[in-house]
Amino acid sequence: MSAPRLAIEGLSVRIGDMTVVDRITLSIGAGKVFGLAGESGSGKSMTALAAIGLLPQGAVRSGAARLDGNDLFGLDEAAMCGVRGRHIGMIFQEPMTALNPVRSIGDQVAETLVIHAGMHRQAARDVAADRLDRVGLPADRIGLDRYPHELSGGQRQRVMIAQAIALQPALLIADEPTTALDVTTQAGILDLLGGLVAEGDMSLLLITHDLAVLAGLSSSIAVMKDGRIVETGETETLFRHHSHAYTASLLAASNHRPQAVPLPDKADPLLRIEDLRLGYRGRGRLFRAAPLSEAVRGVSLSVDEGESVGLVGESGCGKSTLARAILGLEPPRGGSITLAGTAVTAGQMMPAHTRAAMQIVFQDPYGSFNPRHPVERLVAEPFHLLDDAPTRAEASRAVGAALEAVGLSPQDAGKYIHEFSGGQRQRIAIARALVIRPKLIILDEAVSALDVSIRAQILDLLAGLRREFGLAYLFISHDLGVVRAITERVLVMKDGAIVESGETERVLASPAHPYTAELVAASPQIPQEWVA
Amino acid sequence: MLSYILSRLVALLASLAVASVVIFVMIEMVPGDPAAFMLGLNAAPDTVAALRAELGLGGSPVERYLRWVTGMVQGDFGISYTYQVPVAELVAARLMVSLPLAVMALLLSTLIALPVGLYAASRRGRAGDWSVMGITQLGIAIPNFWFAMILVVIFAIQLRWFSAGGFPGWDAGVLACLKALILPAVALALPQASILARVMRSAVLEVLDQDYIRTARAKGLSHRRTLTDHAFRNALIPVLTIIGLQFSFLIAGAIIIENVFFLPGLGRLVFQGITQRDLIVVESVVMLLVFAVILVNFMVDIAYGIADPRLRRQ
Amino acid sequence: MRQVTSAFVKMPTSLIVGIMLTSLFLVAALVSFLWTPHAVESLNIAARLQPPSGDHLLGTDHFGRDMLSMLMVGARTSIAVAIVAVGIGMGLGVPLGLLAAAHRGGWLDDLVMRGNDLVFAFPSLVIAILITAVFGPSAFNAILAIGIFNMPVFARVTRGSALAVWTQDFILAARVSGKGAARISVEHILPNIANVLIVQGTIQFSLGILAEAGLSYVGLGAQPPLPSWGRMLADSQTMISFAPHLAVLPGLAIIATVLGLNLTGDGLRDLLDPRLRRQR
Repeated sequence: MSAPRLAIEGLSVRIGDMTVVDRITLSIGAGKVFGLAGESGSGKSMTALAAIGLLPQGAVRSGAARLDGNDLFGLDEAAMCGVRGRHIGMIFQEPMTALNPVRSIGDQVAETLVIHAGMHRQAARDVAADRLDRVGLPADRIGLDRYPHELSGGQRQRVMIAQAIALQPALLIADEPTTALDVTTQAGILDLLGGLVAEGDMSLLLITHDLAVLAGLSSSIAVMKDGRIVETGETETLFRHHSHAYTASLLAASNHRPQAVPLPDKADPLLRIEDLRLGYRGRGRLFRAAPLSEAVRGVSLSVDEGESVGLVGESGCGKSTLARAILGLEPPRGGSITLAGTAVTAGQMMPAHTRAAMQIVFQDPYGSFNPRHPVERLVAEPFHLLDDAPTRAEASRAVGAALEAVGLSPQDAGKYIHEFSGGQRQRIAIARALVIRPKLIILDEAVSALDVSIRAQILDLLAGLRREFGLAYLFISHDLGVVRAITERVLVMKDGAIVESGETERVLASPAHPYTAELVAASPQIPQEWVA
Repeated sequence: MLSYILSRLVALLASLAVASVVIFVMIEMVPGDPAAFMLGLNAAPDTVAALRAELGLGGSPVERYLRWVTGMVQGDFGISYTYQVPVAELVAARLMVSLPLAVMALLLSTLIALPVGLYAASRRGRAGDWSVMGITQLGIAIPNFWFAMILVVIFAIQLRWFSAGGFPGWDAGVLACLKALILPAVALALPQASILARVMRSAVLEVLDQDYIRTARAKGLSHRRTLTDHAFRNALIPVLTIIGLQFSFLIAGAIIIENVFFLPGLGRLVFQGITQRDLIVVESVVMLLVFAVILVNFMVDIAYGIADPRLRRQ
Repeated sequence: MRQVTSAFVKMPTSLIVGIMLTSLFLVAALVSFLWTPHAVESLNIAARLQPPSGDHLLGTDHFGRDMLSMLMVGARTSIAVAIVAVGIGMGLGVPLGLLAAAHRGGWLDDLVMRGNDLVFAFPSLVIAILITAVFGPSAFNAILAIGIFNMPVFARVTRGSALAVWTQDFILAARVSGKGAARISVEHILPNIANVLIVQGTIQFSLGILAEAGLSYVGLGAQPPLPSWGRMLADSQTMISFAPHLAVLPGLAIIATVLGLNLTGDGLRDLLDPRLRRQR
C-alpha cells in the first residue's frame, strides 16, 4: 500500500504551558474525505494550522506530519511557502472577511498561480477564470473584476475554494467551511467540495462541529475532545458502533429533544399579526428617488398563550426585522401587531406594560450584555418597564430568583459578564428575559452560537421554564433540527413572506411548499438507521 | 466612481461656501474703519468716504459679501489697504514660497514615514520596532518651531551649511531656493513623519490581524510578500485619512516656521496684515488656507475611492 | 476592586514614566501659585544672562529673571490653556458625537458631521488668526482657538466608537426594556467608550500644549508679562547664538510635558485595551 496522503503522528501543540493539541495521530488516504469533528476549543483548527505551519505566534508544535511521504515539519519557512497553496490548499470559516476587500476576485485567484507557477498576470487570470468557472462562478455571470463585497457569502466561499484548488493541490483543508452559511448555500458548497474530491485525486480534510455534515460526505471521521482524538473510524461504523462515551453524548446532544410540554386545553391568542409590512426607504441620491426595500411583505401570524412557534428562514428573509417589529422597535409600513389585546406601536409612544409582556434572547452570548455593568444590573434592566419600580431589595430578590430559575446561583449577581462562559451567558440572557415575567419570549437564534452539548442543556432549560411559567416562545432559527426539538408549530419564511405554516412535525416531514422541501433536503442529516 | 466624485465635489463646494460666510462674518465683526485707519486721525470725512467707496466697503453686508466672493472667483481679491497693490499679486508672490515649502514637507514626511512604519510593523516587538517607536515618540513631542531653531544653531550657525533664514527669490535659481527651504521643510516634516509612521505601523498591524492575511499565507505567500502585497495597500486607507488631516497641521506649522526662518510666505503676510489691520489681506489669506485644506481633503476622498472599491458604489 | 488592584500590578512602564513626567510639571505649575524661587516680575538687568548657580539654578534670562521661576509659571500657563481648551472640546464634542450616533443616518447626524468637516477645515492657527484679528491677542484666544479645533476631534471619535456600541445586542435589549436614545447614550454608550475618550483626551492635551506654545511663539497667545514657554522661546531667538540655554530650557520643558502626556495616553491604551479584547 502506498503512503497515505497526509500522515500526522504524535502531533502536539502547546501555547505557553497549555496543551491545546495532545499527541494526535491520523492518516488521510489519497482521494478521500476525512472528517475531523469536535466542539469549540477541542483543538481541531489548531491541528490543521499546525499541519500547514501557520500556528499563531507563541504556539509550539511537536511530532511529525508527512504529505505523500515527505516530511513537512522539517521544512524551513521558505520551503513551506512552496507547499502552501501548491500542494496543500486551505479554506476558512468566515467568507466575509477571508478575502482581501480591495483586490478583485480574479486577481486573488490568479495570485496563487503567479507566486507558485511563475505565470504572468494575464495568463494567470485566464486560468483563474477557468477555476472560478469550475466552482460555479462562470466569468460571464461573475466577472473577474468583481470585488468581494459585491458577492454573497456563498459566492465568496466559492472564490476561496477556487484559489485553494487553483494549482490542484494534493490536499485541501477546509476549516468549518459552511458554518457561516445558510443551509441551502451550505448544501451547494458541500456538493462542490465532494465533487472536487470525486473527480480528481485530491484529498479533503474537513473540519466541522457538525457531525451531520460529515455523515453525508466523509469516508472516515476522527472525534476530538480537549486536544485529543477520542475515537476514529470509518464514518458509518463510527455512527453505528461508536465506543467512546463522548461520541455517544455528542450524537445524543445533536439529536436532543427536550421532554414535550403539555399545552393548555384552551389557550387565548397572545400575539396576532395581520398583513404586516416592514421596510425602509434607502437614502435618495442626487436626482434619484429613495429606493424602497421591503423586508417583510404582508405577514400574518398568531401565537397563543403558552405556545411555542418556530420561525424558520435563511439570512435576509426578514425574520429578524419581523422580530424587531414585534418588539416595537421598527415602525410598520402597514398592517397591525396586537399583543395581549393591545396594539404594538414603535417608539416611545408604546405603553410600558405592553412592552413588559415580551422579552428577547439574542444569538450572540458575548454582545448581549453591557460589559461595564454587574449581572444584577443587567438582569434588572427590564424593571424599567414597570410602572411602580420595585425597591432595591425586591429587585435584588427577583434577580436572584431568576438566576436560580435558569440554573445559576443568586451569588452570581455581583459578578461581571466576562466571568461567565458562553452557555452561562445565554442562561443570564434568559434570566433577564424572565425577570419581569413576560408572556412571550422571542428567541432569536438563541442557541445557534452554542456547542451541541450546551445547546441541549439550554433547550432543556427553555422547555422547563415554559412548563413552569406558561411562557409562549417565538423561536427564530435557521436550524430545522432545533425547531423540530422545541416548537409545536412552525412558520417558514422566504423573501419577506410566510410560504408555509403548520404543525412542526407535519411540515418538516411532508413539506407542501417547494421552498420548505428545499430547506429540508438541504439540512444535513445523519441517516436514521445509523443512529437507531 | 463618477457619481462618487460628483458627490464629493458637491460637498467641497458647500464647505467652501459656508467657510467663506464664516470668514466674512468674522472680519465684519472687526471694530474700526479701515479707511479711517489708513488715512490717519486727521483725515477729512469726505476723503474717508471716497476711500471707502474705492476699497469696496460701501453697500450692505450682503452686497459686500457677494462682491467679495464673485471677485475671488474671478481672481480679484481686492486692493491691500497698506501696500496699495492687488491682494492677488501679494498672495501669488507669497504662495511661491509657502506652497513649495508645504509640498516639500508633505513629501518628505510621507516618504520617510511609510517605509519606517511598515518596517516597525514587520519587526513587531523586536529591537527595530522599539527604536522606531521610541524615536517617533520623541519626534511627536518636539515643537517644530523649536526644532527649527535648533537646526539653525547646528546647520547655519555652527556648520554654516545653510543660511539662517531668508529667501533668495526664484530669480536667483531653483537650487538656491530649494536650499533655503530644506531646513524649514525638515523642521516641519519631522513631527508629521513621526505621527504618520506610528499610524502606518498600527494600520499595518491591524491589517495583519485580518482573516485575509491568513488566507494569503495559506496560499503560500511569504511573510514579506504578504506585507507588501496585501498589508501595505490595505493599511494605506486609514493612513490616507491621516495625511489629509495632517495637511491642516502642516499649514499651521508652515505659518509658524516661516517666522523662524524669515521666509516671505503667506504666514508672514498674514501676521503683517493683522498688525497693520490690513483686513482684506487677512481675509483673503485665511480663505486661501481654508480652501487648501478643503481641497486636499477632497483629493484624499478621491484617493480613498481609488484605494477602496467598497466606497465607489455607494 | 479586584480588577483595580490587578490592573495596578500590570501597569505598563510607559504609563509609569508618563505619569511621573506629567506630574512633575503639574506639581511645578501648582507650586508656582504659592512659591517660586524668585519673583518673575522683578527685572534685574545687572544679573542678566547668568549661567546656572546656587541662587539661579537654571540661570537668568536677558532681563535677569530667574529661568526656573519663569519655567514654573510658564508651565502654569501652558497647562491651564491646554486643559481648558481640551475641556471645551470634550464638553461640546462628546455630546455632539453621542447625538450624531444616536441619530445615525438621520439629518441630525448629517448636520453634526458636516459641521465637523467645516470646523476641521480651519486649522487652529487660522482660527487663532481670525480671533486675534477681531479681538486682539490674548491667552483667552489661544484657549478658544484650540478648544474649537478640538471639538470636531472629540465629536468624530465619540461618534465612531459610539456607532460600534450601538450595533451591539445589549443596546437592543435596553430598547426592549423601553429605554430611550438619551438614556441609552448615557447609561450604555458612554461607559463603553470612556476608555477611548480618556486616551484621546490625553493625546489632545499634549497637542494643546504644543499648539499653545506655537500660538504664544508667534504672538497670538499669552501676552507679556505673563510668562509662557512659547513666548520664552520667541524672546530667546535673537540671542540663540550666545545664550542657547534660553531656547533649550523651555523647549525641553515642552518636550518633556508632551512626552509625558503621550506616554500616559499610550500606557492607558495598553492598560485598557486587553480587557476590551477579553470581553469580546
